[in-house]
Amino acid sequence: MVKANSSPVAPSKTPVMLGLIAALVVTLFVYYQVFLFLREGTANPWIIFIVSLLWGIGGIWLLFVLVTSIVDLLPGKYRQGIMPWVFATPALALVFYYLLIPTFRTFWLSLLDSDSIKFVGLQNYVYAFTSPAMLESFKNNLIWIIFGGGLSVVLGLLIAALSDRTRPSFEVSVKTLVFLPMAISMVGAAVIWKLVYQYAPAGANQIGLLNSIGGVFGADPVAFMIARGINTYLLVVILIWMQTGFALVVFAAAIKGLPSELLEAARIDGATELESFFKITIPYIQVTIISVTTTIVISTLKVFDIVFGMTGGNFGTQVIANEQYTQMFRSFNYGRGAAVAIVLLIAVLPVVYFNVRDFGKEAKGF
Amino acid sequence: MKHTKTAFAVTLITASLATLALAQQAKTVNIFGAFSGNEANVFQAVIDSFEAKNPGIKVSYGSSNDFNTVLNVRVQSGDYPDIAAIPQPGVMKDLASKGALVPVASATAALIKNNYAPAWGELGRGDDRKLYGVFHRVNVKGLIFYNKAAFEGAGYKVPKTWVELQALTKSMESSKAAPWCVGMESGGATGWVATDWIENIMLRTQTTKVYDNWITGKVNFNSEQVRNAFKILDGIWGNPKAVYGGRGSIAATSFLDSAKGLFTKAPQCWLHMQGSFATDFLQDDIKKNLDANVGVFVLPMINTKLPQTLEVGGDQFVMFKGKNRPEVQKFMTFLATGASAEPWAKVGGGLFPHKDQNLNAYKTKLERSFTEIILSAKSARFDASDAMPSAVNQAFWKGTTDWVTGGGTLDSVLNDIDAAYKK
Repeated sequence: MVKANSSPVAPSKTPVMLGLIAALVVTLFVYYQVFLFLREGTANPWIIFIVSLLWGIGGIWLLFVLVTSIVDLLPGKYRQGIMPWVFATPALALVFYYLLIPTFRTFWLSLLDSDSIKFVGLQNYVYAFTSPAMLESFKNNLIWIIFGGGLSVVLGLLIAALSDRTRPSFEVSVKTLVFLPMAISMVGAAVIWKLVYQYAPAGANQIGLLNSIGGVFGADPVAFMIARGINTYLLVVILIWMQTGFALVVFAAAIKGLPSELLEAARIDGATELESFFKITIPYIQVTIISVTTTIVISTLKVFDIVFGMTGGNFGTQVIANEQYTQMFRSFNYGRGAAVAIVLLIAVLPVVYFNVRDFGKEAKGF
Repeated sequence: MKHTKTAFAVTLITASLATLALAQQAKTVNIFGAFSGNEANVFQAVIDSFEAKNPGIKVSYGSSNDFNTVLNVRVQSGDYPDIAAIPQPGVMKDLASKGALVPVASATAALIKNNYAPAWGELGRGDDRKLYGVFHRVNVKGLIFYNKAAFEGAGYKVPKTWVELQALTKSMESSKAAPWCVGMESGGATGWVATDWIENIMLRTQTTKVYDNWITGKVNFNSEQVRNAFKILDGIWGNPKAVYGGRGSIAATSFLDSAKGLFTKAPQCWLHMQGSFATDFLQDDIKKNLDANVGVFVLPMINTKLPQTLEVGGDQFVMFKGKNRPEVQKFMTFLATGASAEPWAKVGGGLFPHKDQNLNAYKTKLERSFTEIILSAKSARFDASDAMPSAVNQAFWKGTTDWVTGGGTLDSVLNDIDAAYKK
């Protein structure tokens, strides 16, 4: 592998080392030139394509070879210490640059005014906690968490437990059907469900699924998306439709891992099906339930695409993530947008903590 | 193995350096805009005619459906396009005051002075009074479309005054179709149809001075003048017989679909108010012969003492700081000539404000008549909500949407919009 034949012993090492470092400097210089060239971006598209392909793959390889060769030449104790960093540094640098810096920058922006010029203290947070739009968002996100998260988990668990008892061929088709929506993007789902909730005035051709079914029974068409009070719940249904499949598959796998001796022993002791489900199955897959629940709760807290695609946050359906988008990219109020983003981050953090903590438990368990 | 690696590395570096040294960065003009799809294809015809006259310059156009967002992110990161086509004067003024734009060259400015009505030059100025924008494709709003065959078949006459229009719609209420089709659903931009109505009513009830002060926030939303406009709109939208499907349908119907109601098998409505671009939303077979199918008149003045003023809109092209290279300036100047209008007018779907344009080039008589409306207008004002600060525009959209769907009283809605001025 990389541990090349150039690493044997001492005296001749220095010139090789210097050569390698020189090569590294040349490579980095060329990288910079390539960067400038690609940023300009007006050359023949084919040349751009080839250069980016070569340096996207060949350049990374070259850097990797050079750095590992240099580290290989170091004495053993240093080599042991440095080598892992050669592999980890790029990933850490990316996390730092794309995640950590933006987080702190967002926090800083949230203390500045709409054009990020004047310092305004916590004024944007006053907006984030008291404005009608945000209060509406908090209320709606709560609905998303409780109904979206709760029903996805309950339905997923129910279908997993029931389908486990059926014929294998039936089980597979049920699971496939329920899981299928997971393959659709959130925006794609919004487009599909737009056709379900579509409204046309009475007397017109109803192309919406619900309204045309209602029409068969003589009901007046309902403009579902602007019906305050029920429209958020109708949006939550879309999320349940998508997330139940995810919950189902994970729960089904966990239930399959349940040793059949446990259930048999319970039956012999006279436990009913319900008792063994609640007292054996659920405790046994508890860790899975927690991690699935937290994963879905995180996605309900961050829900954006469905609301953006269906109502644009109008008609009383606003949620935190869409309010952030509206402030940041429609009103161009960077201060408020950033403050809302930080509030959302803080709301998600505890759930992420639970989620990660239990992943750790699970890993130890196996 | 070692040698192959070294050989590969050396080849990679030398070949790349050679390529970078030799690759010609072409003389290119990059334009970024909001219009896409078919409109972008037609704009390519404009570009082609420029490139044919200016060999050696390549012009490329790119667009985003989320234009404002992407443009702002690009400006923040210093990744300027050469030229951007901005639909909202408010956004142009923001960028100009941030120092991201450069004023047009004197050759372009001279053309704008001579080849356009003064209003267009005025709209292209930043807060510092410098001229930044060149208008190319424009539109006119407050047009009322009707189905020619059905309208004439029913014996209706085009109303000349607001009183006549009211009498006409009153008599339509007892016919088999509703007087108006109104749809304002437009995703995250829901609300602009309502703000367009309010703006058109404002221009027909108030002086242009009040209108201008309204844009800058000197006339409040919660003022007698603006309340009156909402009251007039309520007289139409709030009357269940006046709108197809009633008030409850307005926010649930897409603005794209509402125009089609004129031409359904049994027409759903007689009239539809929208910008000149609404012809694009009509059914395909109607679009094939717009002249024969579609009739149009301008919403009459409500306060007849005022001179007729049109509401217009359009994209203005601006140059970015450090990007005013000769080839970029050349393209900007080209856009200010009638020659840049002709390729688009021939294909249809665009109106142009240039005085020296060839009116015979328009594909349909209808579009030619729109252009004549624009060219002959004594007075014109830009879409007010687009000229307001972005935050106010957003609040205006949301406020009218809430008002229409019962999410707030007129008072609370107007106060909310006023609050957006203060931030």
